[in-house]
Amino acid sequence: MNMPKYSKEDVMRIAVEQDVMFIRLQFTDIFGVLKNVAITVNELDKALNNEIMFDGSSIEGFVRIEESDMYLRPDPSSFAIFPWRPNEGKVARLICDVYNTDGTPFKGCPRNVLRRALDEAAKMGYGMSVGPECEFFLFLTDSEGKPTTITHDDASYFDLAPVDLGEDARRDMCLTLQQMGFEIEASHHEVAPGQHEIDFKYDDALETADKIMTFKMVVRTIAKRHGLHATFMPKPVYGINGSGMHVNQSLSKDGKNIFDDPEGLLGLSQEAYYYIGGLMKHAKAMAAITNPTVNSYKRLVPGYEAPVYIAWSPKNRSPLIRVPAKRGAATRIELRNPDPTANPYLALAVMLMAGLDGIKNKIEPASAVDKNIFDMSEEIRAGYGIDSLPGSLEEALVEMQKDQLMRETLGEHVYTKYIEAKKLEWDEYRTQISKWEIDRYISQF
Amino acid sequence: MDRKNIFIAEHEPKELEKMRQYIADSEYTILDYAADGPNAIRQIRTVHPDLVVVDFDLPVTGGLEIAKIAEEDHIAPALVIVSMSQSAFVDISGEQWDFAYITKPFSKTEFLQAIHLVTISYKRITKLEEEVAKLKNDLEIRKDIEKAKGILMDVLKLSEKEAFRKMQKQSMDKGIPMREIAKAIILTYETQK
Repeated sequence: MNMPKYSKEDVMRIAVEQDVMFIRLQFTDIFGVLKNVAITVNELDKALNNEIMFDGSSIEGFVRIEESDMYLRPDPSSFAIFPWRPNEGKVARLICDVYNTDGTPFKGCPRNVLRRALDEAAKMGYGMSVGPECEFFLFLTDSEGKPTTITHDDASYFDLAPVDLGEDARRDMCLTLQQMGFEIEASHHEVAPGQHEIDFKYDDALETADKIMTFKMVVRTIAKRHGLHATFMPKPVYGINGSGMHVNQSLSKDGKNIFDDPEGLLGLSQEAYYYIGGLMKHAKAMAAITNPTVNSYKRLVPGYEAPVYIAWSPKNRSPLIRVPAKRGAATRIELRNPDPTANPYLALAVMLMAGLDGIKNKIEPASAVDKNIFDMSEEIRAGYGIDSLPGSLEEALVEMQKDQLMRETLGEHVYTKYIEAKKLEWDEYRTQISKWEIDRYISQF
Repeated sequence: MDRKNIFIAEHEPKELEKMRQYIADSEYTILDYAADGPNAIRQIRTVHPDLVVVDFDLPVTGGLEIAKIAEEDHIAPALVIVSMSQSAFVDISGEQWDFAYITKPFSKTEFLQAIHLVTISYKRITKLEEEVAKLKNDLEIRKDIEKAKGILMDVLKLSEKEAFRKMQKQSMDKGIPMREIAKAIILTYETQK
């Protein structure tokens, strides 16, 4: 566990000791957008006693007007002071679960969806650990402050000092994350110009999902403090790599990593194989959750290290599922298709349930494919039984609706709202006239 | 040698021109300028001026944000240019506002004097901040060492001198700073409790 486990009393004490003036009660909507209700330190007591309410109808995808009062229940151990405003009144945050007025967990709260999935795993004796690898772009803004797709790498500024703005910003991000309790495993400039990656240490799934939301917030804020715009958009520029969010995951039982088995094939346990089987079986159905935007599918194309085909490999660097070489406590399965636009709570929930489905029903995965799938013809791929991920958000939604596990994992409320909204998104995109169409057709016809 | 490089974040061409003229035959140099917040931040972080002059009404972020970032991240002190009506707001804000500011319209003398004042104050403050940080650190080290000494005296029944000498010996033999030895002693003691 990386973050200290604060109690309510700890939080009150620290808030006073540290002169905290404002608190943001944070929660995530079903589309993965961070929301917050701001309170002053005078209301902290009330908040910690679960007495702060908000109007749920103001949050997209939450409720209709009639059922609008919702309660926020903060998780005291998520208390953290934002390190970037040291001189003024300090601002802290608490991550909250959303509850109904009758004291039951709100079914539309994604954090609750993940909790439910984790409870299912706990019934089987399992805990889930996750370590994400998150990529993002840093772009310049124009004179009106609007983001461009120009990166500082190719803007030639100055003969005075060759400082890399992006490197500075990324270093600042890591420092800030560390001040907020993160253990940073790696941080580097990625392949594409202006692209960066920060990996943080694995933790329990719920903590990691919280951390992913915090991470995005920190990256955006610090980027702004460096005059840059951070975007987690999967494919902002055609022809260069896109941004993914690889998810390293493992299950544990009684504190031991159950994917590890020195006697097993490749040092993996039978459960590890079944988990892979489960992920592969539900990969297409999960895509609408792991790759939720229209733009997500522009990234999932050959040639840019992003996966396209449903296969696993301990050797290849770009399959859907990779098994890194480390064993022992660090044994893990890496799912490489998710991108950072995914709602981390929903994404981890569906991955977990897919993996558990594999274990429960002893789903053997197809053999590992160590050859380069991108070099294979369609016939050969079919021969190997290699399927591919959905090619668009529309296809992904069709696949999601075929899979009962998605409905069960997300719950009726989230499932319905999500599909409704995503169908609208697709429809809006589909009816837009793109620049490509103009360039291609306007003169020719 | 004191470099007196200034960065100006100003969107009104007339104001910018005025400031340029004022600075032209002074001891200061204008490194560069920007007309919007994000651009200003990018450049300030790149060119490291000795002072940032910023207009309160700077587009996109406002000038205050730039001043805050420049000072919070210890890049350079800021001088904020406010209009008469805004200066009333400044007075009301009281404690929340601790930036040097100058009200439009200002003369060349007023401008240069304000710049001078901000620059020397910043130098003094930075020096004091460094001193305070060092003292804080020394205090923490002293606390840790005292605590560890107390533990050794208690557990090993040593006198104060003997406890200190024991720690000193460990530090010299192992080539580890006294503070680390102290922390190790405290940690061992706490985990064994």
